[in-house]
Amino acid sequence: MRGRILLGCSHSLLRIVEPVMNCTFDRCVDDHNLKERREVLERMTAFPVIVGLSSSIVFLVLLVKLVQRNRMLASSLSFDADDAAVSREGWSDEWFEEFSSFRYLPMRRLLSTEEEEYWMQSTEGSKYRREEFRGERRRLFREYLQLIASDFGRLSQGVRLSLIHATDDRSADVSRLLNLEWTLRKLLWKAELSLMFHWLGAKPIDASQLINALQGFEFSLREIRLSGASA
Amino acid sequence: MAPDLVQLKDMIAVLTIPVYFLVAWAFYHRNLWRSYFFFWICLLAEGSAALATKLASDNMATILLIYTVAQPLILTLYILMVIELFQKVFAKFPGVARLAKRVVIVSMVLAFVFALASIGGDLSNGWSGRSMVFRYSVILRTISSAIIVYLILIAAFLLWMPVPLPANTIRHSFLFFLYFFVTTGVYYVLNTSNMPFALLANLLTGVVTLAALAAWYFLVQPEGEKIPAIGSAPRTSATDMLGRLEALNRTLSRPQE
Repeated sequence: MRGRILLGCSHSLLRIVEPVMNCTFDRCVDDHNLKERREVLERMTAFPVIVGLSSSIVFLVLLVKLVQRNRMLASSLSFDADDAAVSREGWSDEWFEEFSSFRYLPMRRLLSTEEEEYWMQSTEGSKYRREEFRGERRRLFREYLQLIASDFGRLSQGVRLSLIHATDDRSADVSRLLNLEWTLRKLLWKAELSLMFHWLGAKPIDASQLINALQGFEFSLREIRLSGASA
Repeated sequence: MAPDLVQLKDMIAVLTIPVYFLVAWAFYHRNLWRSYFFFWICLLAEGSAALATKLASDNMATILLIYTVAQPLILTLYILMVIELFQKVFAKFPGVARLAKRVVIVSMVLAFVFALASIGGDLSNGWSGRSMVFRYSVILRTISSAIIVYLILIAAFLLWMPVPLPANTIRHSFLFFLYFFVTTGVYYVLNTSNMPFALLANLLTGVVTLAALAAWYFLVQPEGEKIPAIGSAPRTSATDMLGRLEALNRTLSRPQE
């Protein structure tokens, strides 16, 4: 739109524009700087092209995801088996009614040394058997972590949906919830990292911290939903 | 070849002027002009400026005057119409309205910081006719690149916070991105290059403008204003996950002492 007025409804305006380009850039520079200027221009051209292409790809990807989400929302009333695969990890009120972070309490014993010693004594295990036992417990702990990560994802989704549903402003809750979310994410990463080195004798993360963080997140969400319902 | 390009450019220039008013009329007729008020005003302003410039023919002084008067208004309308696009959606969700407002402000500030960093020392000195035109072109490039960055930041926020969007909002944002992306690219080459690019630049911006206007005419319909209902996802197979969890818990049952 603007291009037309600046550049060009008439040739005389083109004549005004082009000398400015020449004077501003090339012809006003000393000869011995000319080559340097051209090299700078080539470098300048590559970088903006890369930035421009990257930004367009990023935007298109974001837009496609937004369209897909809109379509999912629109088709949520006509649920069918194909959608089940897509929505398996999604939030639902029914799932949240059944959810409780207390179900993860057995995790606290999984990697404890007392549990290990008890098992060794009751089975008269050798060193080899001990390693086998620890390996199996790590595998179980990892499965719990996957389930916690999955539940955490759903809770995050639920939190955001609840904020959108809210009839009054909940901006104050957002920073608190973001902090809780970030804390839980850090604990999950820490848990994965400590688990990687557990076979070397590294001390694993205390599962209570994870469960407490998940519980805090769950209770915050219940509080938001209750206050929304009473409003 | 060159004369054909010039004729093509002139043809597109002549064709675009009535299309501005056609799209504005369509928005008015479909009762969308209030929802996209600044965009509608921008269509009228651009169309009027283009028409006045065409009527001024070879009178350079008049063309420059029209350009100088219209440009600040149109640049301001660009910013306002992009902000209004999402603001009206956020206003429907009081739970996140204030947060969204902050996100809009921060995104716009970040976008302009990025855009201003990209123009470097392109602004020439003085207020003579030639340098003023060049200065306006750099400002336009700044604003269009800021709008691109803003659209990306807002799209990322909308992906994170699942605000349901009307179809028209998605179409608008795509068309805005396309238009401003091409504008930024064209003006970047014009501002920094020594190539004789003005004719091709005119043609390119003309074609994109016409295509975008046609897309706005056909794609933006009253039905597209409907916001998808937000609700819970369909009942998921939570029993699968619960079953796994119960199995895990059973493996940890200690024998009776």
